[in-house]
Amino acid sequence: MKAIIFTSALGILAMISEIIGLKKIILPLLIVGLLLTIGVNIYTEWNYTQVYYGMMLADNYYVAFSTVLLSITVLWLLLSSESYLNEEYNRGDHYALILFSTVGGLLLVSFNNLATLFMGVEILSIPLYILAGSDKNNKYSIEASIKYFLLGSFATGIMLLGIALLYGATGTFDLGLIAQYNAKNMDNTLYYGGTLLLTLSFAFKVSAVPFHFWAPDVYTGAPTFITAFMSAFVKVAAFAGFYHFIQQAYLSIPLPMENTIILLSGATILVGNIAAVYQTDMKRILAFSGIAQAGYLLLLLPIQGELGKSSLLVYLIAYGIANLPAFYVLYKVSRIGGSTNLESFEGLGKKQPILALVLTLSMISLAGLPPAAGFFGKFYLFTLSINNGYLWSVLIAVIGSLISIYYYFKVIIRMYTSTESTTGDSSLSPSLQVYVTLVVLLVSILILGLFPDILVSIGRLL
Amino acid sequence: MDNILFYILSGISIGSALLVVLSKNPIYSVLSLIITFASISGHLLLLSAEFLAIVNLIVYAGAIMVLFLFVIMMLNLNETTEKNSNLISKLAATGAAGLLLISLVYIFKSYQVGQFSTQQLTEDFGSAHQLGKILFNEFLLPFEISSVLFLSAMIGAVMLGKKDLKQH
Repeated sequence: MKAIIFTSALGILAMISEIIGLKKIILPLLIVGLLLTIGVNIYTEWNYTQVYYGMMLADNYYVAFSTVLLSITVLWLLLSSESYLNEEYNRGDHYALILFSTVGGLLLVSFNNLATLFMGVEILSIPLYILAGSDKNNKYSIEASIKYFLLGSFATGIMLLGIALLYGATGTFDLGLIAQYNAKNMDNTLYYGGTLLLTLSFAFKVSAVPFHFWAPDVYTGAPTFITAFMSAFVKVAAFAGFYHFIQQAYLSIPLPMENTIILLSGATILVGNIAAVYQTDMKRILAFSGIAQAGYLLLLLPIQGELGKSSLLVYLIAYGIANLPAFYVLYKVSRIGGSTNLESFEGLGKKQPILALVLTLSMISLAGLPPAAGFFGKFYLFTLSINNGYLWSVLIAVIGSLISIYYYFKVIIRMYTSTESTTGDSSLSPSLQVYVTLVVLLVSILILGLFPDILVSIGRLL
Repeated sequence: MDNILFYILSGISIGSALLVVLSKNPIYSVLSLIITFASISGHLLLLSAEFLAIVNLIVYAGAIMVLFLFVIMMLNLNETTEKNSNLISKLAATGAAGLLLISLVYIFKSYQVGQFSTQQLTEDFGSAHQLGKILFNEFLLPFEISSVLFLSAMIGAVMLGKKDLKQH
């Protein structure tokens, strides 16, 4: 609750920063404010489960995932600072929208009522519809915005119909009461219809196949850092929210829903990975890789209990900290090379060894190879799914991972094999704060890859 | 009596909704959409939700539809400017919508019209008074948080609408 109030207040501060003359120091202010928010949030809410007004459930799950979400926002603010200092003149508005979107994410991991769920999804999405179109001179950006907005509104409409059907069946919006109803009556068609529609709208938000058609176009058209935010923050928030819903509304997940999710997962893994192989644009590769990663994560959703939660935490953190630096390198390369094509990455290993190292490590982490954090994310996920009897799905997921190594390594090989001999290009060097952030991210990818027990032990307390 | 009214209103809703999709002229589409919204307001009245019926009429049939009409007239859309979508996407849309229809029919098949009588409701059910009480007690938190949503929509409108300030 405090985190939501503080983040909203910071958003309003960012909005009026230009009027009150804080334009120069708004970025450090926001970062300090968000770090304080994280601290206060952990200090006041950890191990102190509370329901606010019957609408928000603040348990350890909420604290863990809100910390992840707020950290992603802080890292995003740090990494994107160069772009915003040099090019964008509406900085205050952008920061305000990003922070409001963060508020939506926080609601999504804590809702205890379907009304709050709806508000969370909308507050998360609407700022991003706007930000996707913020590069007003680029027609692809506008296309991305309109496409995202129209399809997103459609998905929201489906979600509302699902909520209405659930209300029709149970007579309540409260997740606890829905769980009670669910334990007694399992054969109500209204209820199944509602859950199905709700599942589909979540599948849209996490870009699961066959609801993924918007993702590549929107990711390519939107400004690079907005894409980074969408791909890291929104995916984490949507998955944590979806898992939270299943966890709270069902004592045990109904079979039709389980089958739907497993089916979606298989299709998502195959289509995402195979489509990524044929891409030549780095942004589209990352978009399809995001779709494929959503496929693996879907396997976790039907698994309840602390093991499911801790694997979800490990996987989402590994995904987030690998994705953000990859988008930063992509931005840097596109600034110099003028495009996000794979050709622009040629010779990066010689020109900018640090950026090349960052991208290499994040690709390794996304591919799920040791010693990066992604390895343990995938390892826990696969073992847990096998223990739950999803043998065939894990087989598909392993095949998908093997395919994914091809396109992740294609990028790495491009960077280090180049015939032309170029010397270091100083215009690509990151600024000091970005440099420090990148080092922190690299170290945390390695630390989580070598000592995954840190996160698992936190995950056991959720 | 209620049932007959329900069937008449449903017929009007479905017919006009079909016209929205099928008519080639965008102006006709918008006008049929207004009729759809008006008949939905009628449904809400039948369910004795007077406040929602009026709000639906004012906001959707009134404000939003007028905006639609403005945009269509400003862009000068008519039958000739409308592009024909290809056969595959038409077929896919029909298939997907048909499947959704089948599942919705399956969901609702065990329910009958008139199962629930509005006689059981209290006197001021659905009034602005009752709605306000629920909104400001039980649903206070989502209500307050919706201000963040409106604020971001406002910032977005301003940001997309204004010219970029250049430093020179």
